[in-house]
Amino acid sequence: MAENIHVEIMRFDPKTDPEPVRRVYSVRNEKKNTVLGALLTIREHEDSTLAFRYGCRCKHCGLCAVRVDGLPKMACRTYVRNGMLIEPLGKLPVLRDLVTEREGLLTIYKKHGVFLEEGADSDVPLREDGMGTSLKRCLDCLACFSTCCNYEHGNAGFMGPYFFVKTAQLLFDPRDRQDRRAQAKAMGIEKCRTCSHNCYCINGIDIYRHAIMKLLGNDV
Amino acid sequence: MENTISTDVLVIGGGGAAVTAAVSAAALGADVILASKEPIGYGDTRISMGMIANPCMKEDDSEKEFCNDLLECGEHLNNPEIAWILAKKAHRAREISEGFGHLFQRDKDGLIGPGVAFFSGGHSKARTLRSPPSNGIGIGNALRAAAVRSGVRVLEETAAHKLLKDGDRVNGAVCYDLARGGAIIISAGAVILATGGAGWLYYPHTDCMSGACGDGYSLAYEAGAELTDMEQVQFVPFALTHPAPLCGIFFGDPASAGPAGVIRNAHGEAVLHNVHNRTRAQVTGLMSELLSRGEGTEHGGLLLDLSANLLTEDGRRMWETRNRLGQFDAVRAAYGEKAYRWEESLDVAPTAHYNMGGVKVDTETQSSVKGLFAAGQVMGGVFGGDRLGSASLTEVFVFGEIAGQEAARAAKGARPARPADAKRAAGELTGLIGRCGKYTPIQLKRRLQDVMWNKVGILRYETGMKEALAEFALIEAQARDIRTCASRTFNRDALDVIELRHMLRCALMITRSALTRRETRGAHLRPDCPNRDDENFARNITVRESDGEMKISKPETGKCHG
Repeated sequence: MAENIHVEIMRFDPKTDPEPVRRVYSVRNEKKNTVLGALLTIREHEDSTLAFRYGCRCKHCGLCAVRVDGLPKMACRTYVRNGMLIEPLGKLPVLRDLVTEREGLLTIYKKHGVFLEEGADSDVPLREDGMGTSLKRCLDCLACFSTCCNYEHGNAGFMGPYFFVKTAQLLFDPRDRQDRRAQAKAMGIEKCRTCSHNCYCINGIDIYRHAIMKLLGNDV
Repeated sequence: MENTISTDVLVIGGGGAAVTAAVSAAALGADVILASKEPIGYGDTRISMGMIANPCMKEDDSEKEFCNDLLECGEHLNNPEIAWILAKKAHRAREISEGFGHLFQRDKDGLIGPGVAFFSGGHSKARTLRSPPSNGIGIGNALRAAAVRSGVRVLEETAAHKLLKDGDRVNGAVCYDLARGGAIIISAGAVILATGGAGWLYYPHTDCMSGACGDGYSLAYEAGAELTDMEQVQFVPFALTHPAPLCGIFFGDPASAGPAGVIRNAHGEAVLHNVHNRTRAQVTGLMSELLSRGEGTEHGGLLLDLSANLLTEDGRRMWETRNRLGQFDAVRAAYGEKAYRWEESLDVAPTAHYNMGGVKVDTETQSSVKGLFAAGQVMGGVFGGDRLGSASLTEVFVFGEIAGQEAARAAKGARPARPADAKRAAGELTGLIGRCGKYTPIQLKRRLQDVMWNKVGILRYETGMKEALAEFALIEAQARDIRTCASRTFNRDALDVIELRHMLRCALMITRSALTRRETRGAHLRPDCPNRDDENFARNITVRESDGEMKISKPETGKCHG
């Protein structure tokens, strides 16, 4: 077990580097070490300039999502293996190294009204739909963007799977009175009718069936 | 490279207290800026179990009973007036958080009734609401939506470096923009600190978010505000010890040991029975004693044996309930299936969870400095020496609302011109990029954390704490000779420098207060002064800065009543 393993990390500072470069790092081969564990060790002992986000280390805060060998993963819940390639989430602009842009998300919430309206009544008998409960597993990790074939950052005509999950949460909220299907239409959900349904959730939400199909209505 | 903006109310923080304060101030017509080190909604509120104490769901419960529980648990270090406000206004926590979009668990009729009231640690009555399956994540996401809905200006990934003052009044802050690497000068009529706690002082022995570096305690102290009970740090007993990346992750209170759970030493001998009837402080204290006597495992833990619970119907039901809440998910990830099913003992050690102490405030959350308010964990006084389970999320919403409203009133007509001392503080921040010294700030942070855990952790001895003070001075000196990343974009080294400064100041406040309290009370355990001494210490220990010195309300003299 004692021997070291190697991981490759995509390093990139768009302000100064012409393109991303893979850098190889050596980490100790410890039982059940995670990708986040490796990143933290590298920062502490080898190269403190490595940029990545993290927060809770295992409780699903949603901050440490990266791509590991091409697939989105929570760095804190993924065991590290020799030869792994660790990259930032796809489809989102890279700020630096493994950190992607988050700016603008709240503006989209605002523009499309992706929140429960003020004054909704929580004091009446409320029954939550099972589907609504499953959608609550969304961690806001933004990984689903990177698996969507239609999403292009900055394209105001298509907001992407993350916002469809958020809108579907409201669709299933027993207090909500807005026309969430119309909102989803304004966010470009029609494009999802003809895609290959690759959108994937790290935390197990069936985004296409439980969010997108419900927002499109029964005529899918 | 700096940016100057102005507002009525500046809220620093991004969790439940911060968003509630911001929304409440905006509702009174104030212009509000919400500056959060993490993205909004990603504080400790998010990674909590999503439980709130909501008294009076059952007929035998009352506000008075809840207040008595708070005071009893806090060993009467609480400010009783503030504890009473929490009890009286506790119902606001559910109203506010559900108004933001969250939903707590309903009974079969779809209502909040006695059927959903759950017994949480330390309470005399079942009065806690839960929110499966999303737990705290649901609240965190509601906070994001509520911040947007309210129209407050949001600055995410923006860390507060220093508060600004005009004479005796706080009138803004200088912040660091992590994404772009510049300073932001914010002038404000009033400032609310809602920065959470300082669990990260004990990393990896903490279950708090990495941002919980005590920023608010440090900012308030530097601005001259008084802080109270800083020695009272809550450790909770059952956290993972390995693998390394999961060390410190909390999964259980004493109650989760169940009626038949026992703690064993490394040799398998039962060393602690009747675990479920003891308080958090009692169990963490006894565990730490055993560990310091060398009875621990190779991973630095003791063995929590829950298997006997499986022999009874009640015990098996308990396993099911707790697993439905996802309480043992981390156990499964760390120790595997058998441990998850309680068939195998769990290697456990205590972990830092919560700071009861904080900024001393009046009943309107106003600190001892004009224009400065505090709400949530950063605020002191409400919990005293120890905290009831699920009471912190109640506190976050109740005092967040009060702080927002009071700050909005205080800020009226008080919007200042650009503060004079801002330029220098902004210069300190831009100077953090590309330093070529000897130490990386992350290394210094890790050293500080080791010192805190080993010398000012659960069991505190005078000799150890004095050694800690010497170590702090050394780390502070080395922090003048640092090496940082040269990029302006998302420079974690620069953020580490800012956090290290806050952490050092907190470490000093905690240690000096802990040295002063020569007794054992609440979460503060002094094996060298093992008894509670009401004659000398039935009062708060407060700290504040005066002429560059840390002034403590009670001198560091007196003898132990051992």
